[in-house]
Amino acid sequence: MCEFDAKLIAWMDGELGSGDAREVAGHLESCETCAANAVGYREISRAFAAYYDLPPSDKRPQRPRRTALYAGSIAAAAAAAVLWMLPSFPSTPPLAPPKSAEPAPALAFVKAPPAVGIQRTRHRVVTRSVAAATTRLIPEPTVEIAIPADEIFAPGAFPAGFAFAADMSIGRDGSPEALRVRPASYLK
Amino acid sequence: MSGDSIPFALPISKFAANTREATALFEELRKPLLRYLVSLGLSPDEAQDVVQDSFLCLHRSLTSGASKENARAWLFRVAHNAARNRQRSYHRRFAEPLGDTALEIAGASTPEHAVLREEKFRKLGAAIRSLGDTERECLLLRAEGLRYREIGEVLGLATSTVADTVDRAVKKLAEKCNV
Repeated sequence: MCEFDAKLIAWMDGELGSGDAREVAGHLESCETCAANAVGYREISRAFAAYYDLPPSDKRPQRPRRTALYAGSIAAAAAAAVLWMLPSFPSTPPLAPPKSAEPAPALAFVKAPPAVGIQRTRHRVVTRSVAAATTRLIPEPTVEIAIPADEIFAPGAFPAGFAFAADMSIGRDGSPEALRVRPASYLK
Repeated sequence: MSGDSIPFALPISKFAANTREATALFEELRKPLLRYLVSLGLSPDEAQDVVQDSFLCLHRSLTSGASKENARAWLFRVAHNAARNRQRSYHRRFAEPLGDTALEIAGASTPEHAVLREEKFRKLGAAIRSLGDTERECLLLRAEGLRYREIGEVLGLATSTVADTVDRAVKKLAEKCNV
Protein backbone atom coordinates (compact mmCIF):
# COMPACT_ATOMS: atom_id res chain seq x y z
CA MET A 1 0.00 0.00 0.00
CA CYS A 2 1.39 3.36 -1.04
CA GLU A 3 2.27 5.69 1.84
CA PHE A 4 0.24 8.47 0.23
CA ASP A 5 -2.96 6.46 0.56
CA ALA A 6 -3.28 7.66 4.16
CA LYS A 7 -3.44 11.27 2.98
CA LEU A 8 -5.77 10.96 -0.01
CA ILE A 9 -9.08 11.48 1.80
CA ALA A 10 -7.86 14.43 3.84
CA TRP A 11 -6.43 15.83 0.60
CA MET A 12 -9.74 15.58 -1.29
CA ASP A 13 -11.49 17.18 1.70
CA GLY A 14 -9.09 20.12 1.51
CA GLU A 15 -7.84 19.39 5.01
CA LEU A 16 -4.10 19.19 4.29
CA GLY A 17 -1.66 22.04 4.66
CA SER A 18 -0.53 23.64 1.37
CA GLY A 19 2.84 21.80 1.38
CA ASP A 20 1.26 18.38 1.93
CA ALA A 21 -1.48 19.10 -0.57
CA ARG A 22 1.05 19.99 -3.29
CA GLU A 23 2.96 16.82 -2.54
CA VAL A 24 -0.14 14.63 -2.86
CA ALA A 25 -1.24 16.36 -6.07
CA GLY A 26 2.21 15.81 -7.55
CA HIS A 27 2.20 12.18 -6.48
CA LEU A 28 -1.20 11.52 -8.05
CA GLU A 29 0.17 12.44 -11.45
CA SER A 30 2.69 9.63 -11.30
CA CYS A 31 0.94 6.92 -9.22
CA GLU A 32 -1.89 5.15 -10.96
CA THR A 33 -2.91 3.18 -7.88
CA CYS A 34 -3.39 6.28 -5.78
CA ALA A 35 -5.19 8.08 -8.61
CA ALA A 36 -7.62 5.16 -8.93
CA ASN A 37 -8.08 5.00 -5.14
CA ALA A 38 -8.77 8.72 -5.00
CA VAL A 39 -11.51 8.34 -7.61
CA GLY A 40 -12.97 5.43 -5.64
CA TYR A 41 -12.97 7.38 -2.36
CA ARG A 42 -14.66 10.30 -4.03
CA GLU A 43 -17.25 8.03 -5.59
CA ILE A 44 -18.10 6.26 -2.34
CA SER A 45 -18.29 9.62 -0.54
CA ARG A 46 -20.82 10.85 -3.09
CA ALA A 47 -22.76 7.60 -2.84
CA PHE A 48 -22.86 7.98 0.95
CA ALA A 49 -24.25 11.51 0.65
CA ALA A 50 -26.79 10.37 -1.94
CA TYR A 51 -27.87 7.53 0.34
CA TYR A 52 -28.93 10.01 3.01
CA ASP A 53 -30.10 12.77 0.72
CA LEU A 54 -33.75 11.86 1.06
CA PRO A 55 -36.09 14.82 0.78
CA PRO A 56 -37.20 15.67 4.32
CA SER A 57 -40.89 16.21 4.91
CA ASP A 58 -41.81 19.87 4.89
CA LYS A 59 -44.72 19.41 7.23
CA ARG A 60 -44.79 22.08 9.87
CA PRO A 61 -45.85 21.20 13.40
CA GLN A 62 -49.09 22.96 14.36
CA ARG A 63 -49.40 22.54 18.07
CA PRO A 64 -51.14 25.14 20.21
CA ARG A 65 -48.81 24.45 23.14
CA ARG A 66 -45.73 25.20 21.11
CA THR A 67 -47.38 28.18 19.49
CA ALA A 68 -47.90 29.85 22.82
CA LEU A 69 -44.30 29.21 23.77
CA TYR A 70 -42.90 30.69 20.57
CA ALA A 71 -45.26 33.62 20.68
CA GLY A 72 -43.98 34.55 24.10
CA SER A 73 -40.33 34.06 23.39
CA ILE A 74 -40.20 35.95 20.14
CA ALA A 75 -42.76 38.67 20.72
CA ALA A 76 -39.98 40.92 21.96
CA ALA A 77 -37.89 40.06 18.91
CA ALA A 78 -40.82 41.04 16.70
CA ALA A 79 -41.08 44.35 18.49
CA ALA A 80 -37.40 44.91 17.88
CA ALA A 81 -37.60 43.92 14.24
CA VAL A 82 -40.57 46.15 13.53
CA LEU A 83 -39.13 49.11 15.41
CA TRP A 84 -35.90 48.61 13.56
CA MET A 85 -37.57 48.75 10.17
CA LEU A 86 -39.65 51.81 10.99
CA PRO A 87 -37.43 54.43 9.30
CA SER A 88 -38.11 52.90 5.91
CA PHE A 89 -41.76 52.20 6.64
CA PRO A 90 -43.83 51.24 4.68
CA SER A 91 -41.31 49.50 2.47
CA THR A 92 -40.81 45.74 2.54
CA PRO A 93 -39.39 44.38 5.78
CA PRO A 94 -35.61 43.98 5.49
CA LEU A 95 -35.58 40.42 6.73
CA ALA A 96 -35.76 37.43 4.42
CA PRO A 97 -38.91 37.54 2.29
CA PRO A 98 -41.36 34.70 2.74
CA LYS A 99 -41.07 31.92 0.23
CA SER A 100 -44.33 30.18 0.93
CA ALA A 101 -46.50 29.15 -1.96
CA GLU A 102 -49.44 31.21 -0.80
CA PRO A 103 -49.16 34.95 -1.31
CA ALA A 104 -48.55 36.61 2.04
CA PRO A 105 -51.40 38.84 3.19
CA ALA A 106 -50.62 42.50 2.65
CA LEU A 107 -50.32 44.78 5.64
CA ALA A 108 -53.90 45.28 6.68
CA PHE A 109 -55.17 48.39 8.43
CA VAL A 110 -57.90 47.52 10.83
CA LYS A 111 -59.51 49.12 13.83
CA ALA A 112 -57.47 48.64 16.99
CA PRO A 113 -59.00 46.25 19.53
CA PRO A 114 -57.76 46.28 23.12
CA ALA A 115 -54.30 44.79 23.50
CA VAL A 116 -54.29 41.13 24.46
CA GLY A 117 -51.30 39.72 26.30
CA ILE A 118 -50.02 36.22 25.91
CA GLN A 119 -50.50 34.26 29.11
CA ARG A 120 -48.68 31.29 30.55
CA THR A 121 -45.42 31.57 28.70
CA ARG A 122 -41.98 31.10 30.13
CA HIS A 123 -40.81 34.34 28.58
CA ARG A 124 -43.52 36.59 29.93
CA VAL A 125 -41.00 38.82 31.67
CA VAL A 126 -39.31 39.82 28.44
CA THR A 127 -42.59 40.34 26.66
CA ARG A 128 -43.97 42.51 29.40
CA SER A 129 -40.89 44.63 29.88
CA VAL A 130 -40.96 45.67 26.22
CA ALA A 131 -44.70 46.16 26.30
CA ALA A 132 -44.48 48.21 29.48
CA ALA A 133 -41.70 50.38 28.08
CA THR A 134 -43.60 51.11 24.93
CA THR A 135 -46.94 51.61 26.64
CA ARG A 136 -45.41 54.40 28.67
CA LEU A 137 -44.59 56.25 25.47
CA ILE A 138 -47.76 55.61 23.58
CA PRO A 139 -50.86 57.56 24.60
CA GLU A 140 -53.45 55.92 22.36
CA PRO A 141 -52.89 53.59 19.45
CA THR A 142 -54.72 54.86 16.43
CA VAL A 143 -53.88 52.26 13.80
CA GLU A 144 -53.34 48.55 14.12
CA ILE A 145 -51.25 46.71 11.57
CA ALA A 146 -51.43 42.95 11.33
CA ILE A 147 -48.05 41.52 10.36
CA PRO A 148 -47.84 37.88 9.30
CA ALA A 149 -45.02 36.17 11.17
CA ASP A 150 -43.55 35.05 7.84
CA GLU A 151 -42.99 38.71 6.93
CA ILE A 152 -40.43 39.17 9.67
CA PHE A 153 -39.20 35.69 10.33
CA ALA A 154 -37.99 32.93 8.08
CA PRO A 155 -40.73 30.70 6.70
CA GLY A 156 -41.27 27.83 9.07
CA ALA A 157 -40.16 29.70 12.17
CA PHE A 158 -43.81 29.98 13.15
CA PRO A 159 -46.79 27.83 12.42
CA ALA A 160 -48.58 28.95 9.26
CA GLY A 161 -50.95 31.84 9.85
CA PHE A 162 -49.35 33.20 12.99
CA ALA A 163 -49.26 37.00 13.12
CA PHE A 164 -48.16 39.94 15.19
CA ALA A 165 -50.14 43.13 15.56
CA ALA A 166 -48.58 46.55 15.71
CA ASP A 167 -50.43 49.50 17.22
CA MET A 168 -49.09 52.83 16.09
CA SER A 169 -49.78 56.53 16.11
CA ILE A 170 -49.32 58.72 13.08
CA GLY A 171 -47.80 62.16 13.56
CA ARG A 172 -49.01 65.36 11.91
CA ASP A 173 -46.43 65.02 9.15
CA GLY A 174 -47.61 61.49 8.45
CA SER A 175 -44.65 59.73 10.00
CA PRO A 176 -45.19 56.95 12.52
CA GLU A 177 -44.60 58.32 16.01
CA ALA A 178 -45.06 55.41 18.30
CA LEU A 179 -45.40 51.72 17.95
CA ARG A 180 -46.38 48.79 20.10
CA VAL A 181 -46.12 45.22 18.91
CA ARG A 182 -47.93 42.31 20.41
CA PRO A 183 -48.68 38.76 19.35
CA ALA A 184 -52.03 38.50 17.62
CA SER A 185 -54.17 35.52 16.85
CA TYR A 186 -53.96 33.47 13.70
CA LEU A 187 -54.73 35.18 10.42
CA LYS A 188 -57.63 33.50 8.75
CA MET B 1 -39.66 58.66 16.56
CA SER B 2 -39.64 60.89 19.57
CA GLY B 3 -36.52 61.32 21.67
CA ASP B 4 -38.18 59.31 24.44
CA SER B 5 -37.45 56.09 22.63
CA ILE B 6 -33.68 56.53 22.60
CA PRO B 7 -32.95 54.79 25.93
CA PHE B 8 -34.14 51.46 24.62
CA ALA B 9 -33.35 52.03 20.95
CA LEU B 10 -29.78 50.81 21.36
CA PRO B 11 -30.41 47.41 22.92
CA ILE B 12 -33.30 46.93 20.54
CA SER B 13 -31.18 47.57 17.47
CA LYS B 14 -28.72 45.00 18.78
CA PHE B 15 -31.60 42.62 19.33
CA ALA B 16 -32.75 43.18 15.76
CA ALA B 17 -29.24 42.54 14.45
CA ASN B 18 -29.16 39.25 16.35
CA THR B 19 -32.55 38.38 14.91
CA ARG B 20 -31.27 39.09 11.39
CA GLU B 21 -28.19 36.99 12.06
CA ALA B 22 -30.28 34.12 13.37
CA THR B 23 -32.65 34.44 10.41
CA ALA B 24 -29.80 34.28 7.89
CA LEU B 25 -28.43 31.19 9.62
CA PHE B 26 -31.89 29.68 9.64
CA GLU B 27 -32.18 30.15 5.87
CA GLU B 28 -28.78 28.60 5.31
CA LEU B 29 -28.80 25.73 7.77
CA ARG B 30 -32.40 24.65 8.24
CA LYS B 31 -32.34 22.00 5.52
CA PRO B 32 -28.87 20.59 6.27
CA LEU B 33 -29.84 20.30 9.95
CA LEU B 34 -33.13 18.60 9.12
CA ARG B 35 -31.36 16.18 6.80
CA TYR B 36 -28.73 15.41 9.40
CA LEU B 37 -31.33 14.77 12.11
CA VAL B 38 -33.45 12.56 9.87
CA SER B 39 -30.27 10.67 8.97
CA LEU B 40 -29.66 10.17 12.67
CA GLY B 41 -33.05 8.50 12.88
CA LEU B 42 -35.46 11.21 13.97
CA SER B 43 -38.86 11.38 12.33
CA PRO B 44 -39.42 14.49 10.18
CA ASP B 45 -41.67 15.94 12.90
CA GLU B 46 -39.12 15.28 15.62
CA ALA B 47 -36.43 16.80 13.41
CA GLN B 48 -38.54 19.95 12.87
CA ASP B 49 -38.97 20.26 16.64
CA VAL B 50 -35.26 19.88 17.28
CA VAL B 51 -34.34 22.40 14.57
CA GLN B 52 -36.79 24.98 15.92
CA ASP B 53 -35.53 24.46 19.45
CA SER B 54 -31.92 24.76 18.27
CA PHE B 55 -32.59 28.08 16.55
CA LEU B 56 -34.50 29.42 19.54
CA CYS B 57 -31.52 28.41 21.63
CA LEU B 58 -29.18 30.22 19.21
CA HIS B 59 -31.33 33.36 19.23
CA ARG B 60 -31.45 33.39 23.02
CA SER B 61 -27.74 32.83 23.20
CA LEU B 62 -26.95 35.63 20.72
CA THR B 63 -29.30 37.95 22.58
CA SER B 64 -27.64 37.28 25.90
CA GLY B 65 -24.41 38.52 24.33
CA ALA B 66 -22.70 35.17 23.80
CA SER B 67 -20.20 35.21 20.98
CA LYS B 68 -20.94 32.68 18.29
CA GLU B 69 -17.88 32.66 16.14
CA ASN B 70 -18.76 29.36 14.60
CA ALA B 71 -22.53 29.19 14.71
CA ARG B 72 -22.66 26.39 12.17
CA ALA B 73 -20.74 23.90 14.33
CA TRP B 74 -22.57 25.21 17.38
CA LEU B 75 -25.99 24.58 15.83
CA PHE B 76 -25.04 21.12 14.66
CA ARG B 77 -23.77 20.32 18.16
CA VAL B 78 -26.98 21.46 19.84
CA ALA B 79 -29.06 19.51 17.33
CA HIS B 80 -26.80 16.48 17.57
CA ASN B 81 -27.07 16.36 21.35
CA ALA B 82 -30.84 16.75 21.18
CA ALA B 83 -30.98 13.85 18.73
CA ARG B 84 -28.80 11.66 20.92
CA ASN B 85 -31.12 12.42 23.82
CA ARG B 86 -33.91 10.84 21.84
CA GLN B 87 -32.20 7.50 22.17
CA ARG B 88 -35.16 5.46 21.08
CA SER B 89 -35.38 7.09 17.67
CA TYR B 90 -31.64 7.02 17.26
CA HIS B 91 -31.37 3.30 17.82
CA ARG B 92 -34.55 2.49 15.96
CA ARG B 93 -33.08 4.05 12.85
CA PHE B 94 -29.94 1.99 12.82
CA ALA B 95 -31.68 -1.22 13.78
CA GLU B 96 -33.45 -1.28 10.41
CA PRO B 97 -32.32 -0.89 6.84
CA LEU B 98 -34.00 1.76 4.71
CA GLY B 99 -37.45 0.63 3.58
CA ASP B 100 -38.31 -0.06 -0.05
CA THR B 101 -40.15 3.24 -0.33
CA ALA B 102 -37.10 5.15 0.76
CA LEU B 103 -35.01 3.26 -1.75
CA GLU B 104 -37.46 4.09 -4.52
CA ILE B 105 -37.43 7.76 -3.57
CA ALA B 106 -33.66 7.69 -3.41
CA GLY B 107 -33.44 6.09 -6.83
CA ALA B 108 -35.81 8.50 -8.50
CA SER B 109 -35.24 11.92 -7.00
CA THR B 110 -32.06 13.15 -8.72
CA PRO B 111 -29.80 12.14 -11.60
CA GLU B 112 -27.10 11.13 -9.10
CA HIS B 113 -29.56 8.82 -7.44
CA ALA B 114 -30.70 7.36 -10.73
CA VAL B 115 -27.22 6.06 -11.50
CA LEU B 116 -27.08 4.26 -8.18
CA ARG B 117 -28.73 1.01 -8.96
CA GLU B 118 -30.81 -0.51 -6.26
CA GLU B 119 -28.45 -3.42 -5.73
CA LYS B 120 -25.57 -1.05 -5.18
CA PHE B 121 -27.72 0.93 -2.79
CA ARG B 122 -28.52 -2.11 -0.68
CA LYS B 123 -24.87 -3.03 -0.53
CA LEU B 124 -24.00 0.48 0.52
CA GLY B 125 -26.74 0.41 3.17
CA ALA B 126 -25.31 -2.77 4.66
CA ALA B 127 -21.83 -1.25 4.66
CA ILE B 128 -23.09 1.93 6.35
CA ARG B 129 -24.81 -0.09 9.05
CA SER B 130 -21.58 -1.90 9.76
CA LEU B 131 -19.87 1.39 10.65
CA GLY B 132 -19.56 2.51 14.24
CA ASP B 133 -21.77 5.40 15.42
CA THR B 134 -18.88 7.86 15.44
CA GLU B 135 -17.72 6.83 12.00
CA ARG B 136 -21.20 7.26 10.58
CA GLU B 137 -21.69 10.62 12.30
CA CYS B 138 -18.35 11.89 11.02
CA LEU B 139 -19.31 10.95 7.46
CA LEU B 140 -22.77 12.51 7.80
CA LEU B 141 -21.35 15.81 9.04
CA ARG B 142 -18.67 15.69 6.36
CA ALA B 143 -21.38 15.15 3.73
CA GLU B 144 -23.09 18.30 5.06
CA GLY B 145 -19.91 20.21 4.28
CA LEU B 146 -18.49 20.61 7.79
CA ARG B 147 -14.72 20.91 8.17
CA TYR B 148 -12.89 18.33 10.29
CA ARG B 149 -12.40 20.97 12.98
CA GLU B 150 -16.16 21.67 13.05
CA ILE B 151 -16.99 17.96 13.14
CA GLY B 152 -14.66 17.71 16.12
CA GLU B 153 -16.58 20.51 17.84
CA VAL B 154 -19.91 18.81 17.20
CA LEU B 155 -18.85 15.37 18.37
CA GLY B 156 -16.35 16.42 21.03
CA LEU B 157 -13.35 14.91 19.25
CA ALA B 158 -9.88 16.17 18.41
CA THR B 159 -9.45 17.24 14.78
CA SER B 160 -6.82 14.55 14.25
CA THR B 161 -9.24 11.92 15.57
CA VAL B 162 -11.85 13.12 13.09
CA ALA B 163 -9.32 12.85 10.26
CA ASP B 164 -8.44 9.28 11.27
CA THR B 165 -12.11 8.33 11.69
CA VAL B 166 -13.16 9.75 8.31
CA ASP B 167 -10.22 8.03 6.63
CA ARG B 168 -11.04 4.69 8.22
CA ALA B 169 -14.77 4.95 7.52
CA VAL B 170 -14.43 5.90 3.84
CA LYS B 171 -11.99 3.05 3.29
CA LYS B 172 -14.33 0.58 5.00
CA LEU B 173 -17.20 1.63 2.75
CA ALA B 174 -15.01 1.51 -0.35
CA GLU B 175 -13.79 -1.95 0.54
CA LYS B 176 -17.25 -3.36 1.27
CA CYS B 177 -18.74 -1.89 -1.88
CA ASN B 178 -15.79 -2.94 -4.02
CA VAL B 179 -15.34 0.56 -5.31
